[in-house]
Amino acid sequence: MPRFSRRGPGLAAVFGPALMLSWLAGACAPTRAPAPMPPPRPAGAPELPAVGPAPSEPDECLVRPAGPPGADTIRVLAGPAFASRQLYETLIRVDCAGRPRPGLAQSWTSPDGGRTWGFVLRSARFWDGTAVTAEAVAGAWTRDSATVALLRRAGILFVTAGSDGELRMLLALPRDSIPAVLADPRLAIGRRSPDLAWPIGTGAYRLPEADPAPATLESTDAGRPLRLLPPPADLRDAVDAGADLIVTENPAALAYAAARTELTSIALPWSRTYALVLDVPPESATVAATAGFRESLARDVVRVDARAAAPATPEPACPAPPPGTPHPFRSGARIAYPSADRTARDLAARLVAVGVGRAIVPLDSAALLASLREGRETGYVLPLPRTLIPCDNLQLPAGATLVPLVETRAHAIVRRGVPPMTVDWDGTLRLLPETP
Amino acid sequence: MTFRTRLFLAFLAVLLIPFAVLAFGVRREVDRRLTAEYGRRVQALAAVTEEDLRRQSGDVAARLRALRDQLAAENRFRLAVVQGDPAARGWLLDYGGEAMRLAGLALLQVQDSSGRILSSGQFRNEFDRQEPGLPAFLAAIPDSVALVQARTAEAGFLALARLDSLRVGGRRFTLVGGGPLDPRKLVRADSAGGLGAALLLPGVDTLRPAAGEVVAEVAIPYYDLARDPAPAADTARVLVTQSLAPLVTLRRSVDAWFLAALGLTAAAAVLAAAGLARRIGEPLAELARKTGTIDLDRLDVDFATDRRDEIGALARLMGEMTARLRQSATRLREAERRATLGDVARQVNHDVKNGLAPIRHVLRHLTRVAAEEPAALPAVFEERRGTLESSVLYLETLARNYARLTPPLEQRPCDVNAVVREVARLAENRASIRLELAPELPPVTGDELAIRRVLENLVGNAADGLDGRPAGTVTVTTASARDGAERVVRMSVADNGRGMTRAELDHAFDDFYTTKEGGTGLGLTIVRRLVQDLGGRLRVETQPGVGTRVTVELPERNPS
Repeated sequence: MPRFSRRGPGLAAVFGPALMLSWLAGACAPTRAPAPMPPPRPAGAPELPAVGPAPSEPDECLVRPAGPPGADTIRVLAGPAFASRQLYETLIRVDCAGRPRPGLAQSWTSPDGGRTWGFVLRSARFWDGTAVTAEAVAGAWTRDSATVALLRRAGILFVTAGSDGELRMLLALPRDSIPAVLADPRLAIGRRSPDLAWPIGTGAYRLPEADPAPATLESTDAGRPLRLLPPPADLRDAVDAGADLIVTENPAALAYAAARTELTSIALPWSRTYALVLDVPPESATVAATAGFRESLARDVVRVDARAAAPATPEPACPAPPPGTPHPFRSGARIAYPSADRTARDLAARLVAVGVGRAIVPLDSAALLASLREGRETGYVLPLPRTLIPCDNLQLPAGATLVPLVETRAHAIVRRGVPPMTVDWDGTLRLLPETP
Repeated sequence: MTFRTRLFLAFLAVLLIPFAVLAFGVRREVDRRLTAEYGRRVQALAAVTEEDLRRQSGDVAARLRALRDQLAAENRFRLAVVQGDPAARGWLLDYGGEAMRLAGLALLQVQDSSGRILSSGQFRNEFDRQEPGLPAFLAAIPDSVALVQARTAEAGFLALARLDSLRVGGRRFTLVGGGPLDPRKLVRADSAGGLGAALLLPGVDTLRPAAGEVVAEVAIPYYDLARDPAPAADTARVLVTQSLAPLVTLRRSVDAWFLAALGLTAAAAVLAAAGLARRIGEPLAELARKTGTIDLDRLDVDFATDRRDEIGALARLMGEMTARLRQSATRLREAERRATLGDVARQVNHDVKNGLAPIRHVLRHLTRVAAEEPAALPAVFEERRGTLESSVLYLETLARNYARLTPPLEQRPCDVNAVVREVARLAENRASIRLELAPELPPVTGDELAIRRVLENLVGNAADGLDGRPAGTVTVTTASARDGAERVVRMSVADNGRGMTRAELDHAFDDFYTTKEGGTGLGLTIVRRLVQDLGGRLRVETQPGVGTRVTVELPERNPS
């Protein structure tokens, strides 16, 4: 049985930092959801069947904008997670309703109640024609130290390829949520090639080999290519320029799109939780810990589509943070927030207005993380991405308390005639093959 | 105290006192004028600041009126505050920021009658906070304008705030608006000229004017929204100050210039005192020194000078006086000599009588013996011959002694050149003698023997002064010259010998003073007396190592 080893970067190493930076940079487009979708189940507690495949039931996460096909190229303004979702597949998908669906694995079983798992891969090939095998998957994961750490946080001790072509996993403790864990984009399957800067994937789109900084994704099945648009200063300019798909929280852009008949807006799943990190117990943060206050934040303070966050649920099974010297946060009475995140700023300002702090201070992503590690400020307002991996939350300093404030979600502005899409648990859209 | 010191002190007193008075006056006038100017500048800046505040206040009031009218007509505001419409409430939360930016304000709050913030421009998310103190404060102060320490979520800032209000749906709402107040712009001042201004906030700034600064204050009502735990009302001040540093600098500059002028004046005084002392004091001192050497035996001091001033006149007067003294001394000495001759005659008479008396007695005795005892005459003669011989010897001794007395000077025309040639001839074996004799030299009236003795002494001294130098020469010159109105014959004996020092010259005419081994120290004394007896003058010029020149001037006609 192969053991985890650290031989090279994998997709977790490639996309993990990008995801972290993206959530720290934050989406800053406020909106009011025109058509909220059913809320997903809380993170970390999906109710998933222990045996797959998922039942075939109506896919309420399918988006099929009616209309004539548009231009030869599908122009998209979305984040890097969107591009990654088109290029690479995970073993399992979790749709917007929190249901696991087949990905590269067409079925999965656990014979012992969740301690060992076996995944049967579908017949898939990488872009270069190489077959996707259990050995390839296990090898891709075990080469990257970040992926190994991620799997271990999920409780997976070993990953190996069975003689029957099945991918097998051994957990430290029985856990029936493992299929959902494998839907994390950081565990997407890619194969590194020495000739290419990017891993080779199995998605419906691929990167042009000659372009070191690709802005266009080629379809692997004769579909229209995807053109990734650079973000304009005003998102409405992208609308006017004919973008086919825009993922945003910007309320002005959403309102503008609502006035255009050729466009429709779709509210995506709640994907981000803004939380206040303090060095006091939550009961001491009296105002911030009340449900009424959180509802007020979502209703009046935050200018994007938001709702009050659920109180933090303790995760006793998670390992304790590495021992360190506890240090109290400084008493400068400042609330720090990511400088590029307007929602975080609004929340921090409100906290100051109600007396939790006396001033707000913007910090860039790196400075914010460094300040948080050392507890330089009195409090921090942080945007946390949704995760399906237990114990995958931000590592807080010893003694710090995390108080969820609001959850936000983005919207997709879709031009009629674009290919059908499915919406995944984290609000990411996946384009489906166009019907000839 | 020396004459030079007195002159210096006099110059200093004459210059220093006016300078001190001038410096004091200039300093005082500069102080007075600059202080007055500073006061005007400070008051002007304070007035400008007040006017600036009034202008800004009026500007804020006008903008608030426009916002008030617009808000009163805005249906969304009515829906939000009267109907409680959620969508309108969302609009109202953002209204403050948008309206504040459009109006160019830095502070805008919409409050209801209870003081609850409905919308805030500078701090959007402070809605629902109770802050009734600020409108109440603004309503209570004159002009309803105050300096407000407001805050955003990030930091505090200053704004010049005013109040306005409107009624909607029977309820009263207040608008608190403020323009940005940059203390650096509010207190424009010329720091380079020492004019400064500072905005002093109560409890924050503790600036105190420095001692002596010219100060003016502009008071502004102040409200601190950021004060913890509760806002506070107070008074802020714009403190306008004028530093006296420029004045001090000016004073120092004036002092420096006065000191420089004083230094130059003192230097000029020193130079002037030194020059005057040299021009006046030294000639006077020389005159005094010459005068101090005058006595009956030294009446040949030379007071000749070329100066045309009072000191020259005094020197000439002293010279004339010395000449008169010299003539008087000659006459006195002649009278004395004549008186002495009388005494000598009487002494001679007495002495001769004393010498003749024994002879007379012996003759009478011999006469009587010859008459009475002729035979005894030889015996008696032999007996008395000793007496006769003794008396004759006495008389011979007496005659010889009287013969040694100085004979009176003769008054005959005398050819000086002839005497010079004779003296030079006799001294040829002692030194190289060079004669520079004036042709057709007029004769002088005097005693040729005395003139010869004078020349013999002078030529002898000159020859001795050569100290055997191979190139040593004694030069004797004669000339006819004029001394004032008198014609004189000038004889000079010069040598290029060792010369005399000043001390030697000072004692050269003292009796028994000599620098020569075996000398009597009477040569120059005799010379000077003979010259005085001849009615002439004697002058010595000497320089150590160069030589000595002795000049004798004899009147062509002896006044005696």
